[in-house]
Parts: sequence; C-alpha cells; structure tokens
Amino acid sequence: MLIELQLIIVALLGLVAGTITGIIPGIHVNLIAILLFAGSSYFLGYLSPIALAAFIVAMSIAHTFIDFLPSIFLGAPDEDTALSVLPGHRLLLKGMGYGAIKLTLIGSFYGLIFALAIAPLLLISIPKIYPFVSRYIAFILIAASLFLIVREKYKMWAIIIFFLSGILGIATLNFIVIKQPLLPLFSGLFGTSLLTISFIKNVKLPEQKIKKIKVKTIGKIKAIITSLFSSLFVSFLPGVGASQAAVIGSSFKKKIDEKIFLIMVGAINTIVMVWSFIALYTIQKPRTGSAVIIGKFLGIFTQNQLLLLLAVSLFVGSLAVFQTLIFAKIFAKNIKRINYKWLCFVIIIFIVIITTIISGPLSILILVTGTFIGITCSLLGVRKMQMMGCLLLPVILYYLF
Amino acid sequence: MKYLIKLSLICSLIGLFLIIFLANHLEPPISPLSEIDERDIEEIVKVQGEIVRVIEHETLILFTLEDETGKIDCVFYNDFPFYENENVEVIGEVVEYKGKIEIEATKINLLE
Repeated sequence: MLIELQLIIVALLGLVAGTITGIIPGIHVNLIAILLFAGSSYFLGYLSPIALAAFIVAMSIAHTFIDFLPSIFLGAPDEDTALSVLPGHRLLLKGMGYGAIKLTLIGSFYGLIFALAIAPLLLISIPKIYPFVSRYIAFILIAASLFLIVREKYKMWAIIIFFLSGILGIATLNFIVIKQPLLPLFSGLFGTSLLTISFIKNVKLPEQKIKKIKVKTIGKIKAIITSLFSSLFVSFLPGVGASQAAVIGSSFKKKIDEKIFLIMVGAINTIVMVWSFIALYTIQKPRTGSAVIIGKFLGIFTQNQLLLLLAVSLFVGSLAVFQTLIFAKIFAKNIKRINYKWLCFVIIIFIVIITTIISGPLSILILVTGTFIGITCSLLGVRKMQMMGCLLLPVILYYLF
Repeated sequence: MKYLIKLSLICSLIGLFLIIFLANHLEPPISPLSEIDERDIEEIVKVQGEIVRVIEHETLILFTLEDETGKIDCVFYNDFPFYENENVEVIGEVVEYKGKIEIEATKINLLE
C-alpha cells in the first residue's frame, strides 16, 4: 500500500514539475532530470529508484501536453514543439489560440492511448526490426529532406536555408564549451526570430475565442495514424526526435492542413516520449533525455517496472488534458490585455537570460545567428520546416560517415 | 524588403563563421584529475592521462584515466579505438553517478 501511495504522490509531483517545465520557455524536462540525477544520492535516501523513474516519466508526459502553450501563445518553443509555432501562431492571430492548443491536446491524448495500445506489439517486434531499419535511416532522412525542398515554392532559397541551418546545427553540436547546445539553437531559429518579427511588425493579438476548432473525425484518425508511423522511426533510432518525425509525417501528403498538422505534432511529441521508454527496455537504447536518466536510475529494468511506468504515463496524461485546458483558457482570456509587442520583447529578454545561465555567455552567438537565419527564412517565404536541417543534416552525416 | 533579406543573410553568415571559428579553437583548459570534484558537476572539462583500465559494455565503454595527481572514471558512448597504457586527452562533462564523480566523454584524442 505504501509503495502504491508513494507512486501516486510522485506521479502528481511529476505532473506539477512537468507543468512548470512546459509553461516556462527555455526550461526543459531534461534539465530537471539531470539535476535530479545529480542529486540522486540524496533522493535515493527517501525514494526508491522506480519512484524516481516514475517522477521523471510523469514530468516528461505532462511536459509533452503543456509545452505547446508557450509555443503557440508566446512564440517560444522548445525543439519538440518548434514546428508547431507557425501554424499555431497563424491560428492565434485569427483569435483561435485556445482551439490550437485543443488540437495539440487531441493529438497528445489519442497519441498516448494508441501508443500504449500498440506497445505489446512493439515489445515483440522492435528487437527484430531495429537492426535492419537502423542501417537506412540516413537515406530515409535524405529522401524526406529532398521531398520537402521540392515542394517549396522557392526551391533554391529552401536549399540555402536548409544548409545554413544544417551548418549552424553541426557547428553548435561541436561547440563543446556550450552546455545544452540545443537550447540556444532552437530558441534562436524558432523562438526569438518569430518574436523579433512580431515585435517589429507590432503584431496585435485579436480577442481569443474559447471554442474548439472543428476537424473531421477522419482527419483526426489520419493524423494519429500518420503520427504513429512517423514516430516509429524516431522513437527507436538515435539522433532523431519529435520534430524530425513531424517532418517525415508531413511528407506523406503534398499539402497538409495546419489543424491536422497541429494534431500530428501533439501526437508525435507524446508518442515519441512514451516509446522512448519502450526502446530503453527492448533495445537498451535511450532515445530521449528523460529515458537516459531513467536508464541510469534503473539500469536494466523488468517488464513489470516498464508496465508501471506506462501506467503512470496514462494516469498523468489523462490529468494533463484537463490541466492544460485550464491554463489555455487563462492564457486566452488574458493575452489580449497584454501589449503583445512588449510581451515579445520581455520573452526575448527572458530567453536570452535563461540561455546565458544554462548554456553560458557564448551561446548568445548561437542564439543571435539562429535568430537571423529564422528571420531570413520568414522574409524569403520559405517554410520554417526547412530549418530542421539544424538536426537533420548532422544526423544524416553521422549515419553516412 | 530586399535590403532586410540581404542584411539578415549577411548577419547569419557572419555569425556562422564566428561560431565555426570559435568551435574549432575554444576548448576548456587542462585540469589535473585531482581537482575534478562535486563543484565541477555539469561543467565541461579537459583532462589528460593514461588509460589504466577499459571495460566494454553493450552500449558504452567505461575506462579509468590516471595522471600524476589522481584517477577518474570516464564513460564514452561511441566507438573506442584506444587501449590500456595509451595516453589520451578527454573532453567531457563532469557528472555524478551513484555517488561517484566521473566524466562523460564527448571527445577523446590520442596524445603522442
């Protein structure tokens, strides 16, 4: 009874922690997980390793639900929500920010349900399929990148943006004195660039409507199925994450509706996190920062422990839906009272401060360069998706060479 | 508009060149192994020493580095073409694992 109570309490604490990390731009679950691990000798005096692992799972799952709030309302994404910024921002400018969040929640919740439903199949098949698929990931990503460039209106500029972002990504990941290099990289490319443009254009947000955006059921089903397929590649292969899965998933259709895209990004974000725990169990390879830390706490863990962590995912995910809707209403009701231009300015300053504290003063150079590349991308009319070259190019080169 | 595009493109290129230059030239100073402690957790450090022990696991390599001042355990998650008694330079992040300080290596170079 005591262990069950302990697990419920840590799951609820994880929900709170994931809410904090999700709402505040620049704070990621990986940071909290690393700090937790750094203090593990202290925490293990009070909690069992499985309880600590359950806390990280709860925090990570809650984060995947709520992190679209700053991404859409504040234009301040992390690497997993980066691609949601532009479609989400477009809906925000139409007064449908709350509806945009609800779309990502539909994706996250149904993605969670289906990810858990398919889990038994993955437990059997992944150890057999993984060695075969991992040999071809570079070619899959090259094909997806080329396909997306070919669909652009301005193909030459798309190639330039892809390679500029790719070179920035390679240089950033090799910049060894920078801690948490993805923070300034993604904040610059997808966050401060958009915020700077909003500041310059003096964007005024319209009244936000608290109502859902209608999407046909068949559209939702297609989005979830596409998300499951594209997440399959990235959940079990190194170097690729939710953003790449969104890129791959969106390449299956010539033109993807922004509402369907938001459901997809929401689903992929959560599915990738859940399946990273399954990857840790089946092939002992952690694919997210959270899974890395869980692996360090538990080592090789049992099927019962995996089932427990998946149960925690479902418990917390269910609560996170309601919690996120409450916060989304608060954001939607209050954002018009705020001068959005100066809110953008404050968030830019906040991102600069957080980046300096977490990644060091030199990371500002990455942040600023990413910002200029992001601004160039927007001014040229190239889709922000091409800036995912910042991760795609390093991963492709890693697997090719 | 064209002026803004040119300006942001030029600034992007200047930033890229600066980052590439600094990434290739900036490294932390060499630290004696005895000076690596809890205060350095999450810091990037550079150390040099002799590999005195290598243990291969399925997903990682554990090795012990020794210099004149002390020893430290290191963990590396990639291919490890080094052997015991070789002198190497290791760059990585200081972490705590089960109460012990170790270095999560990101770059290892053989010293002549």
